Amino acid sequence: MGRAFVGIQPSFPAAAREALKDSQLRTNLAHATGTIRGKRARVTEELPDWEFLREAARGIKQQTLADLADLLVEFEKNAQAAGAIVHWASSAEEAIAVVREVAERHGVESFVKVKSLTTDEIGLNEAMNAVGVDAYETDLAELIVQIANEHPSHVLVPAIHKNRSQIRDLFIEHLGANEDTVDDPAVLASIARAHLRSRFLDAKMAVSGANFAIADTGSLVVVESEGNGRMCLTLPEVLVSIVGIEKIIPSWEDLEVMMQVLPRSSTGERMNPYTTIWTGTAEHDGPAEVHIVLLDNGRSRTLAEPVGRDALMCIRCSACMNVCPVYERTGGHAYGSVYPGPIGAILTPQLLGPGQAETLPYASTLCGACYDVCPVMIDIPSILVHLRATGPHGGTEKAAFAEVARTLSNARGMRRAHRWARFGLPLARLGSALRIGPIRAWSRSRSLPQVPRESFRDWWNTR
Amino acid sequence: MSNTRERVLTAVRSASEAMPTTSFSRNYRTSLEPSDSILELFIDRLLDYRATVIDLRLEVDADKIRTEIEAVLAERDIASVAVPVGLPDGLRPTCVPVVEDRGLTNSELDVTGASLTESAISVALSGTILLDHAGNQGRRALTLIPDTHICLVHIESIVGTLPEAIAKLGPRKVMTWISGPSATSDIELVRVEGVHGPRNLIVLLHALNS
Amino acid sequence: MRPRVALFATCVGDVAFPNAIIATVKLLERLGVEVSFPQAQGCCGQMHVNSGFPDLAIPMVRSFAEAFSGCDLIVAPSGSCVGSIRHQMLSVARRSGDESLVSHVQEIVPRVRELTEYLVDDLGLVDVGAVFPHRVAYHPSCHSLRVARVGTRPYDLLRNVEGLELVEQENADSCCGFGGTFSVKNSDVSSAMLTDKLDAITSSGAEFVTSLDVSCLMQIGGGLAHERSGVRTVHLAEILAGTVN
Ligand code: SF4
Repeated sequence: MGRAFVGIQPSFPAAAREALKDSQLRTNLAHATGTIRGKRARVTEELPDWEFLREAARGIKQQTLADLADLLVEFEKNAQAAGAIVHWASSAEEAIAVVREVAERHGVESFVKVKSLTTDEIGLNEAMNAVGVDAYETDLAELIVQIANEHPSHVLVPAIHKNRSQIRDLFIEHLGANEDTVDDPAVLASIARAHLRSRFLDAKMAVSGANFAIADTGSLVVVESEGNGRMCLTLPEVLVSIVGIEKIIPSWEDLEVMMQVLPRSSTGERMNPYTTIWTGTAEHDGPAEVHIVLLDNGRSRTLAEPVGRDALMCIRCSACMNVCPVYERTGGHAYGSVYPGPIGAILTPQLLGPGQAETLPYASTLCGACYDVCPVMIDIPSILVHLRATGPHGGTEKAAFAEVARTLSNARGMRRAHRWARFGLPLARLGSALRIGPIRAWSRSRSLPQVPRESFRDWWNTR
Repeated sequence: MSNTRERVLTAVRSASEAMPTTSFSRNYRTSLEPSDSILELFIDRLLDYRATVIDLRLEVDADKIRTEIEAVLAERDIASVAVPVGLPDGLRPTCVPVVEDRGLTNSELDVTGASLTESAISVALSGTILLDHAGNQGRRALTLIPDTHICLVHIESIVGTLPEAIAKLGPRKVMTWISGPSATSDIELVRVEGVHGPRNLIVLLHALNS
Repeated sequence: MRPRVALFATCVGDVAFPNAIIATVKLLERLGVEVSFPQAQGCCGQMHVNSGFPDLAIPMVRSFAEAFSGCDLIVAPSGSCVGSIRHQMLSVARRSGDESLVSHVQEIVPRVRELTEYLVDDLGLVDVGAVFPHRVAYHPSCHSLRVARVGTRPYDLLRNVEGLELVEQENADSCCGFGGTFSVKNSDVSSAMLTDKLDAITSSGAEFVTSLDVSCLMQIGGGLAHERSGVRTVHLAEILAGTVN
């Protein structure tokens, strides 16, 4: 698998501890998530039918999952009829092979790219780089992250961990900007524009993802703000789009729902500046050669999970991340995956399969804020709890919980629990099971409660 | 590859086999209240996106509209305009060179000051202009590369909601939905109008039937 | 006829925070409610379910069902436990494969009320005659807000307490960082969340913080005590019952 998925996942608690030390990251994240949260709340509250839209969006994606095989076949047929070349990939390697083959056949040494989590998931840029083909990110934030040789810290604003002066320095060093460039966002944006302009106009090939793939027309949809997407999707001669199989929506009509819930949930705008929809190839308009790679890469395995499959309904709006109190403090890097935040905590372990990312389902207080904002109403807390139940547990942890369970199941046990609590026994036991000094960690920032001499039960029985 | 196709489809089929078929209702709005002024709402949204709006909502005279377009060009020092072949002659400015897009190259479009097109349909609630790239709108590159897009919107082509637009228009081979000029908030979340797409969007509302 | 309820004291309340439960009893009795306490009760099983041991929760659910069988209304002063009873207990019962337990739970769950729901909906009261002349910050615990969904009931009750000034708190509805074993497994993130919560509380000018959940109050109170801030934590029932000393 791709860049952030390579090798052994770091444990979330350890990665989070590191992230928490970065005070700039924390300040920037709190500002970003807070601002986007407020915008989202305003533009969803102004719609009297918001909850109906959510219900319909959920219904559409549920129907998609239930009929996915048929819808994929329908999409393929319609896209092919419109002139697209459809490929299938069960793994990251297979998807990369398609891009590589197309690039080699056209003899290109580079291609332009639209920001896409799916291509990040398969590690496309690194893989192509290794065979001598450069992938140029064209989204402003992705460009910043790419020249800084880092990973996105936020799905929506990937370079939010960087301040304007740091970005100016990067532009001076990597894009040849003048030494006396001021760190005004408008100036920096125009430098990026100038830098990428000729790249767009001369590009032979582009690679994109897609927000939606419409089964009954064979069309793909890309939603964006800057116009770099339109450039990549329109100007090159060859276009390859990597599309996760769950990106399907059944019909053209469904766009009227998805395009109302996505921008409002995502950037908190009533509509994103640009949406491009294309169906195969069009005469004298856009790329003459259009490829679509339908990617599985763990999705069909996830679909087989009766509880966890709902994660595949996700439309990647990032609303759950912006309301998540954990994500707000740690940022995206701590999740060790291109899919961070609450959705990442349920999607990453499932896409990767057993034995991977096992600490992610615990990266949540189960506060439920994600479920409340999710435009397709994915019950993320319940899926987190389910993944905790199906994941591995240490023997001592299990024994400790079993003992607590026996204790808390009857009156005699409850009296014993009170005695234990008074002497801190269960906490200590649980602590050793969790292999952390819980009392120590806890009391770094909190005092332990005093347990009264008399339990409620004692009071009741003696009054 | 066809092997992979079968493998993926078989896995998907067996994974979703036991899934219950669900039904759901579409109780969302398909139109606005009669009391809502669609036109005012549309203008409000466009201004919110920092587009420029020229409100000639009652204008049915092509000469007057053209004069207004020429005033915009003069005011902004725009020295050349690219238009689609289907743009009515009466609307083409006479004060600057007008090139018809019969396969202009990217670099030719890049040195053109503005594009001038009509539009297919617009949605008031979200301030969105939908282009279906018919003859009066031209191909996608035309309204993408020049730094200013002057877009003519007939007031009767404005509907209240997205469902109305989708129902009226039906599937199209290629489409571009535009809600304001190109924008980014990637640096410290500060909104900047104009990155790669046209940095200026000028929407001219009119009532001229072609 | 005198209203009657069975009290679910919750395991943490019974063992570690008896004052909140005693206050609940005194409040209800003052309002003329006859309160019973089925002795066989223990825990609702939430901690085990949320920690990934749903099967271990089966005996707890069983004893809960036995303890409250035949009770008309069950009242618990906890948004978190009520939320868990509503959203998790049935699925635990199903795991047991015991159909009679499933139907037993199905029959009990709709009769469970969070304390503020019982006061506002069943008794029709927002003014319970309490007096508490202090500045109070309310922490809407996540589970009372988004799982049990008690809505504005706690605010309605607090606004009707004589002398009480409800103070505004920044990001009031954001999590305190407890999350059960989260506070142990991810103690650094938990502490970071708590720090922000404490800042919001101390800068609100509150003398007391109140909530429907003793677990959040334990987290927040532990932090306040650690900081020696002087702000105290009390359960909402204690304010309404007038038992804060
Ligand atoms: S899980 Fe829901 S809220 Fe989160 S990114 Fe996906 S669609 Fe958006």
